[in-house]
Amino acid sequence: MILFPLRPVAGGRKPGEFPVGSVHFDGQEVKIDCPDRELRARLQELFFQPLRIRIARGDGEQVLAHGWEVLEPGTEAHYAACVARLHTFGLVPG
Amino acid sequence: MDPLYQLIAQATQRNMNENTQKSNDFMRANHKKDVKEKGSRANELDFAELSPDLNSMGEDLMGSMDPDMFGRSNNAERFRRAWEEELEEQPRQEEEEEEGQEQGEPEDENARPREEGELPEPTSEAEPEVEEEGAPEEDEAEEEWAEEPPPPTLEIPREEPGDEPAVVVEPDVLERSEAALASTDQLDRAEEPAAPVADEPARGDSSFHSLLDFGSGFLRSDEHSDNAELEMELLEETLPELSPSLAGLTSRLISGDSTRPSYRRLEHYLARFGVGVLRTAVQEKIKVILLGPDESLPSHILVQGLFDEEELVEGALYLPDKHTLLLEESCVIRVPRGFNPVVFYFAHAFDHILGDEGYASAKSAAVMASYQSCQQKLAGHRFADDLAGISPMHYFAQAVESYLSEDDCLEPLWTRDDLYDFDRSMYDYVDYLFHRTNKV
Repeated sequence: MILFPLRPVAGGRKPGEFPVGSVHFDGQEVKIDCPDRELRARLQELFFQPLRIRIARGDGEQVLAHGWEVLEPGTEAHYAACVARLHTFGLVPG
Repeated sequence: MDPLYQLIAQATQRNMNENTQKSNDFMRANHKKDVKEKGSRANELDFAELSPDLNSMGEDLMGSMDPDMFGRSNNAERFRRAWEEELEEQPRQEEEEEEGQEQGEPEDENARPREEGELPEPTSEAEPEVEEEGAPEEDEAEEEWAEEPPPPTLEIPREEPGDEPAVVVEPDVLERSEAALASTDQLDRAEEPAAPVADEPARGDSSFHSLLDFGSGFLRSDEHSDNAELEMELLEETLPELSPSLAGLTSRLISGDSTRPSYRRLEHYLARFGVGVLRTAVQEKIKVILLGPDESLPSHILVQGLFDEEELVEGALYLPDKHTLLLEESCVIRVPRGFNPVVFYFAHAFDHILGDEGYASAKSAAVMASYQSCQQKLAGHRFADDLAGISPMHYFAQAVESYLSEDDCLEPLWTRDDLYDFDRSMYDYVDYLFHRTNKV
């Protein structure tokens, strides 16, 4: 998965023209290729640390609630959740 | 070599030397002429001879920095005269002192003997030695530096007088040594408390604190404090007063201890929805129950039996059947992490009261179209997270929470800018809905 930076433009933020790196998950391990050392360190911190996600509680008809669940790295769910949070770093998957 | 050729060469060489000499003389004459003209222009002083750089730099640029101008003022002249008078007076004083010592030796015997350690008064012996009068004056500036008197010093007589030279100590060092001696004397006294050290200025007052030092005075965003009371106070300080209409509506919505700071914070969270939304909620008899500090959601009577024992519920929930929003106090007090649960669940309530039976988001074509676009991962449509993609109700509630967010969350999952940039159609719908409901 190729990562593009988000550039501020007149109508909000748009993906930049040139990629800043790539992230790949082979089912067991995440491989990060990013020449920017600072950005690579932040990506490693995101992809190799446990991540807390929201989960729904209740049946939806009687009660609507939520809880938190911790995802361990090395799983497909963890990788997907990390990709969904790339925008917090100013990145967007291409 | 041909002698004729040799004569011709000599004559040519002589002519060349004469011409060169003449040109040099001509140039020198012209240069002197220019220098004299410049000198006459500059107050009849030949600056060119004194400072060759002056021609290239320009006189006006030099100004008072011109080193050639130093010493020409009246003050400098006056100082030089005073200096010469002082030089003349010093030998006389020395002679008088020597005469006085020769005559005053018997008087010293009658004088009070100095005790050990007593400090004599500063004498003039410590004054700098004056250069010999016969020494040639090399440079006035050097003399000025050389003759500058050093800081006054004092002589301490040793316990064993005679052979050893007196120690020269500066006054400030003496003061410090006196203080140290006083403290050691007090230490020597058995079982007496140590002398109180002179009051040092408070470190916090005098020491410089770096602006980058966030150890005190700044709150790090990644630090999660468990001190709820402190957070409450911090939040209270930043809360403005609500308008009377909003305050009246929130007071009708919220049931809880109004004296608690969390109550006021909750009022401000709900006030983000606007007067129109709150009025609709009051009309539809929505209740917002703020639990006390000792109460928790699983132990509340309305929640019992709704969750399995293993399920952990965080902070807030919405009961559609009872049109009731339940909130733990910690959920309101603490700085929200990820998203704001109060706004999220009141958005559920708002969605619920907009639909006559069921949720309005499930019936709204705009919401459903955006929701399906996000499900199909079309360009310009994204879910905030997995929970937002569970149902259109969750999707709508998350969109409202993002729309009303005010950057007051730690590690926000989805901000208002994110909603605008990554799900523009839903942003436009929520914006339209709030403007219509609040009649802005």
